[in-house]
Amino acid sequence: MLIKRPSDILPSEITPRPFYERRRSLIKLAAAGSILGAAAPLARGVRAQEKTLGLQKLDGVAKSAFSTKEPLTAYKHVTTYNNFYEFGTEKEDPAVYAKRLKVRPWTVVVEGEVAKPRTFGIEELLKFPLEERIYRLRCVEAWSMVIPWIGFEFNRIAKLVEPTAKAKFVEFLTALQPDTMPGVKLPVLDWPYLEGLRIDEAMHPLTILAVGLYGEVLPNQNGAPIRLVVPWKYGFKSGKSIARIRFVEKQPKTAWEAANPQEYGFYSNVNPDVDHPRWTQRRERRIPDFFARRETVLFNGYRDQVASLYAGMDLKKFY
Amino acid sequence: MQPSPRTLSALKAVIFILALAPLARLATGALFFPDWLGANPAEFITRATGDWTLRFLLLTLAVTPLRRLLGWPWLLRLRRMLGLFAFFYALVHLELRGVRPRLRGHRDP
Repeated sequence: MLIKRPSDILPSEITPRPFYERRRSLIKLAAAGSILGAAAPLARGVRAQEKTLGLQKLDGVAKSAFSTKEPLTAYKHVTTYNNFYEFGTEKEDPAVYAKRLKVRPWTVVVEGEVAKPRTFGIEELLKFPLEERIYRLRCVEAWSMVIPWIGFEFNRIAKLVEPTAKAKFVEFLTALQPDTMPGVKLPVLDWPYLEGLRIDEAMHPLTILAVGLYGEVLPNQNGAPIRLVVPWKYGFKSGKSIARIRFVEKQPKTAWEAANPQEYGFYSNVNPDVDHPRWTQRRERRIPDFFARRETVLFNGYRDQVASLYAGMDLKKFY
Repeated sequence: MQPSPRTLSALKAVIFILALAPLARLATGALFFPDWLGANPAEFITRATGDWTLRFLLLTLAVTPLRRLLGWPWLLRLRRMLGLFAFFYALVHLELRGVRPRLRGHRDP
């Protein structure tokens, strides 16, 4: 006689066959989930702990979909490895000498082909709704960084001053303070430093005026108190410590173009296919890497956003 | 003043080791302590080896005037080593500047 014993396993406890068969991948998934869950606050913690200069904090900063998720370049590198020739031509010079830069009072004059020319005090500009934009920065010298800028789109300024139909280009002039800027005694460039964009480039949502980085106001060596950031062009196009903005009809002769037109063009879009006459632009060194092992990408990886600005243009001719 | 042959060879050994110290610092930084070499280690090493080339060149060229000035003819015995170190740092510097790839027709920053 068969004696039937009740099973000590309830049917509801039995793992369905499809789950049983996937058990290993499910465990892996769960493990990965818990690691990620644990690491996410850690990553945020690392970010928050980044040792800064302890400058004024910027609050109420919104996130942006334009931000890259690439790892950030350390604050100490962002603030000690700079090209800011007004304070000397060595990378270490700006961190040492830009302390003298007078950043208050500060005004930005906006003039030229506009219906409502206007002078903005820096306090007004800091009240614009601010966003964090984590952008790649590619220097023409073949190194690159990832920097969490804080700022607002330049087109906000443009909307306030109402450019006229004659406004085809925008000039950005860096402040000229001969008493605080030892570098302007040298005839390296024409001072004040002049940069420029075509009006559609300037109005592009990626083009920002930055007032901070890493959650704080800009350190002087990074172009305090307000600077331009154009992430798809070589770094020198993004003028620092902007004092004057002019809407103009004619294409400006920018500082580097005036100094050396064979090497630096007006557009200066990041482009691995157009070499600098003295070096290749194919690769870049992501600071602080030892080797230049990253492949440089057209428009610094912002192709989807900006390629339409240059439709039909020969980028080798308009470099 | 004329050092004994033993003193002179000891002095040469000390200078030899001191002359390698800059290289040792750069190599240790590159391999273990990237913070020593700042944001752009390759550029730092290129510049440092260039600086040391010039320093050793100047030291080498200073030997003859010093000999005459101090009346120490034996200083000549150090000159070849100093000159060779100038050459050595120049080679490392040029290698890092990418002279070889350039000779092959590539241009690297």
